[in-house]
Amino acid sequence: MKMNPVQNLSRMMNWSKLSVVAFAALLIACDDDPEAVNEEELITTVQVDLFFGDSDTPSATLKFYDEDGDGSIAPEFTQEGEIYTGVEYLAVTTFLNEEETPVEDVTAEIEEEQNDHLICFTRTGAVTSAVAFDEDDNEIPVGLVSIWETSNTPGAATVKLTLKHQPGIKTGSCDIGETDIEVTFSFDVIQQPL
Amino acid sequence: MKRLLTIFLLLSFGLAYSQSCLYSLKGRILAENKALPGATIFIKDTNSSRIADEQGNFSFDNLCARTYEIEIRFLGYETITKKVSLPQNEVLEIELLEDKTQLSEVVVTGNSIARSTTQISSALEEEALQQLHGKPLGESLQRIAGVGALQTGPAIFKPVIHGLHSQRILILNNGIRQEGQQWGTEHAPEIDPFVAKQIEVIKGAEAVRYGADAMGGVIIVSPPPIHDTGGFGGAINTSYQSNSKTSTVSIATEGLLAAKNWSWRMQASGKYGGDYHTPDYTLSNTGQREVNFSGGLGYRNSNSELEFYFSSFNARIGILRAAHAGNLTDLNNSIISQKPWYIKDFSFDIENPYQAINHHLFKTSYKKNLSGNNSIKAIYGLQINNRKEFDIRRANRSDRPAISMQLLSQVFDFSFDHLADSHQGSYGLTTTIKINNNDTETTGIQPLIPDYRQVAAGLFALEKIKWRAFTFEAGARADYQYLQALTFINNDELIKPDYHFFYLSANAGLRYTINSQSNLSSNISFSNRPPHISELFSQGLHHGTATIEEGLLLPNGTLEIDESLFKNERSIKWLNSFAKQSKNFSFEASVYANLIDNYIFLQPKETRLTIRGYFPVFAYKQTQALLTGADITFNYTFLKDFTLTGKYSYLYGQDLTAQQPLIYMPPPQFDTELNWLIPTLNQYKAFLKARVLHVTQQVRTPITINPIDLEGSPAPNETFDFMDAPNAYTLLNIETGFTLPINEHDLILTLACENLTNQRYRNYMNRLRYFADDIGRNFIIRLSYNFYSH
Repeated sequence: MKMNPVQNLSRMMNWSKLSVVAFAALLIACDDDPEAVNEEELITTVQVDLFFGDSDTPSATLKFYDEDGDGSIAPEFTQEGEIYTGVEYLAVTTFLNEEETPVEDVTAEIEEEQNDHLICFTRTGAVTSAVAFDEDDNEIPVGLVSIWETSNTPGAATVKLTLKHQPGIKTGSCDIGETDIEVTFSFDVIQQPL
Repeated sequence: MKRLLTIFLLLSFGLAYSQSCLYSLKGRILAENKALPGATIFIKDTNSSRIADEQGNFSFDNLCARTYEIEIRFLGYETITKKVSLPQNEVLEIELLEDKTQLSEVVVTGNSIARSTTQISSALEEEALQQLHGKPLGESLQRIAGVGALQTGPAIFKPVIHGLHSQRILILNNGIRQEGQQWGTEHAPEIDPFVAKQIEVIKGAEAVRYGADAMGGVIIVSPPPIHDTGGFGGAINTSYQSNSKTSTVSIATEGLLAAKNWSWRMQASGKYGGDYHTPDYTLSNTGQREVNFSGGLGYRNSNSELEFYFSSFNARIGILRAAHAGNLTDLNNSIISQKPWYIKDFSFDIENPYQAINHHLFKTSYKKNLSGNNSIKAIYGLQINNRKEFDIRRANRSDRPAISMQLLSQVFDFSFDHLADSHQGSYGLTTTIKINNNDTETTGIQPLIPDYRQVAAGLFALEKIKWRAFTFEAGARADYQYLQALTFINNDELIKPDYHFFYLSANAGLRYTINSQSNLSSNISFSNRPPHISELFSQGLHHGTATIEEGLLLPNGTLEIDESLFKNERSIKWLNSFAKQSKNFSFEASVYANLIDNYIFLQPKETRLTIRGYFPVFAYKQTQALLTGADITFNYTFLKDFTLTGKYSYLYGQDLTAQQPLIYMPPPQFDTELNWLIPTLNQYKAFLKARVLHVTQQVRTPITINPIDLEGSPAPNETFDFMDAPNAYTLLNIETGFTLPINEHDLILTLACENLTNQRYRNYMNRLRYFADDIGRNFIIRLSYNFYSH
C-alpha cells in the first residue's frame, strides 16, 4: 500500500505518540495521585448577629456566604429578622468555614490572635455609628463584638466590615496590614411596628 | 533512563585514545610595546582562529607536538606569518607594526558550529562580569542592548529579551536547558552568576536549536571550560554594597589530577543582605540570602571529552512587606499613599512574605571527535527545583509555605556536528521529562498550577554554507510534547486531562561580508510554542497585584477540558543587523519585527466580589501581537585613553487585534558610558568611568484605572494598568578601579557608586512600583584576586 507523505507523517506521529504515551504511563505509574486540598484557611462565611436588650437570641442576623473564596461562584447575602430605628445593637461577628464538616468556627483563631487582628466598620445611611466594643491585651479594639446604633428615621444603610491581619504591627489603624475579609452589608432600617 | 545512563557511562570510560595532542599555543599581541586587543590569530593547518583579548592574549588548545604556521591579522597593521614549534618554551610575544599603506581585508573564520552566524548575540565577558559581581543574573543582563528585566523588588529580576520573557526565553546553564519555575512573573532564574565566565544573549528566535522555549531568545551562561585548566589555580571575588549592606563572596579553585587528562573545578558563593532603601525610606523585608556551590570533573584526550558537573543554588528572598495587597482597597491605598504603609528601621531579618528556592543540577556530557572534523555529543541533565513561597497567614501557619512545588526534570540531548571548509552543520535529538508536584498537604492551599507530567522530544537539523562573501544558514525542527495535568473539579474529583502537541519550527539566515570592516545579516525564524501549563490551568490569587489569574481552560472561571479553547503560539521574527568594526570604532545596529499569532497574555475579564473584597480577574487570552524595535550599540575610542560606549534600545509592542499597546514593554532606554584609562597609571590598568542611564517614560501603555473604581463595577474589556507609567528618569553611576599585580597574579579593586544623585524614581518594569520607589544611592566595593595558572 502506498502512502502519501501526510499519511506517512500521521502514521509516524501515531507511533511516536504511542511510544511516548507508553513511556509516560510507565513514568506516571510510579507516581502517586495528588489528594484534594484541605483548604484550612478558607473563610466562607461572615455572620453578624445583632442583639437587642438582654435577649439571648439575635433579633437580626446578617450573613455573607462565599463558598469558593477566590473562585467564580458568586457570594450570597442573606438577612434574617428586621433591623429597627433608634436602637443600640450589640453586634457579634462570627467567621465560619462551612466547607468543612462539621462547620469550622474560624472566630476562635482570630480571638486567639486578637493582638494581630482588627475588625473595622465603615457605615453609611441609617446606621449612625458602628464601633468595636472589645479590646485586646494591649487595650486596642478587636471588633468581634461591636455596638451598632441606628438612626431615628428609617432608611437604607450599609456597614462595611473589614478584617485586617496585622501580625506584630497592630496600632488600631485600619490602614495597615492585609485585608483578610471585606464585606459590605446593605440593608434597610425600618420603623418598629407598634 | 537509569540503564541508558549506565551504558553511556560505561561507553565513555571505556574509550581509549591514541595521539597526544594536548599542547597549547599561548601568545600575546603587542603594538608599540602595549597590549593590542582584537587581532585575529589564525592557524592555517587547523583552520582555527582566535581573537586576542583585552590584554592582547590568545591561546589555542588541543594542538599536537609539531610546527604550526600562524598568521596574525589586524586592521590597520601589517599581517604577520610566523612558524611556531610545540611544545612552547615560553609565551609567544608578537609585535604588530602599523600598516601605513592600506586597509587589508580580514578574514574571520572558525565560528563555533552550534552558534548561528546570522542571529544577533551579545555577551558579557569576564571583565564586564567582574564589575557586576554581587548582582543577580537578570540585573547584569540589562547591560546588553535590547535586554531588560521584569522586576519584583530590588532582588528579583526576570530577563526580558525584545519584550518577551518567562517561558518564551530559554536559559542554557552550562549546556543544559534550565528547568525551573519560570512561569511566574515574580520568579527569577535560579542561577548563581558567579559560575559564569561569560553570559551571552542570543536575541533572535533560536527555537530550531533549542526548542519552543527559545522563541524569544536564549541566555547562555557559560562557566570556563573545565579542560582549560593549566594547573592549580582559582579566584576569590568579594563585594559589599552599602544599600542593603549586602556582602557576597565567591571562591573558585581548579586543578589537574595526577592523571593529567583529568581536571577539576570547585566553586562556592554566598550572599547575605538586609533591607534596601530608597532615598527616603527603608524597603522593609527586602533582604536576601544565597548559598551556592558547584563542582566539575573533566576528562579529555585528543579525540574525546567527558565532563561531570553539579551545582546547587539556594536562595531566600524577602518580599517588600507592604507589597502584599489583601484586595483592591489595599492596592488602592498603596498607590494613593505613594509610600509603603510598613516602614521599619534597617534589618537583616527576612520575615514573611518571602521565597525560598533551591535548584540542584547534575549534568554529564560526552563529546567525541570523529574522523574529519565531525563530532558527536551527548548530554544528560537532572534538575530538582523546589520553590516555596511563604505568606502572612493565620494561626501559626506562617511557617508553612503557601506555595510549595517540586519540579523534577531530566534532559537528554544528543547531537552530531560536522565541519568542513565551506559548510558546517548540526543534527540532534533533544528530550525532556518533567514531573511537577505541589505539596498541598503542607500548604493547605489550592495550588496556582496543578501537578503535571510532561514528556517532550525534538529533532533538529542545521546547516551553514559559506560562498564568497556570503554565509547562508537554514534549519528545521520537529517537536512532540505530551502533557498530562492532575487537577481537581471543584476541589473534589481528580481528573487527568492530557494533550499531545506536535509542532514545527524553522529558520533561515544570510550574512554578507561587505568588506573587512563591515557586514550585514538577516535572519528569519518561524517558531511554534504550545501553551505552558500555567497558561492553561492557572487559577488563583496573586497578592503582589491583588489579581486573580485564570488560565485558557477556565473561560468561565471553572475548568473546561476542551482543546478548542487554545492554540499554539506562532511567531515569525525577522532580525536584521549591520555591524562595522575598525580600530577605534565599532558599531552594531539591529532592527527586528516579531509577529506572534495566538500570543498568550493576561487580559482583565471581570471584577469579582469575594468574601475578601473585590478583585480584578485576569484571564489568559490569545491575540495577534507585534513586537518590533531596534537596538544600537557602539564603542568609540578617542584621544587614545577614552572610550565612549552607547547602548540604545527601542521597542514597540502592539496588540494588533485590540489595537492597543501591550502592557509591560520596556520603555526606550539610553545607556551611555565614558571610560578613561588613566595613562599615568597604565601598569595598574586604572580606570575611571561614568555611566548615564536614561530611561524614558513608557508612553505606549494601556489605559489606567484606579483600583477603587473597579469595585462594584464590571472590568473594562480592554487591558488596563492600575497606575500611570512612572516618569522618565536619569541615573548617574561612577566607577573606578585598578589592578595590582601580586606574584604574577591580579588583584582587582573597584569602587562604584550607583544612583550618585540619589534620584527618586520608579521603574515601569518593576512590579513593586505600585508600592514604593526604587532604590537610592548605592556604594559598592569589589575585590577580586585571581591566581589562575593559565
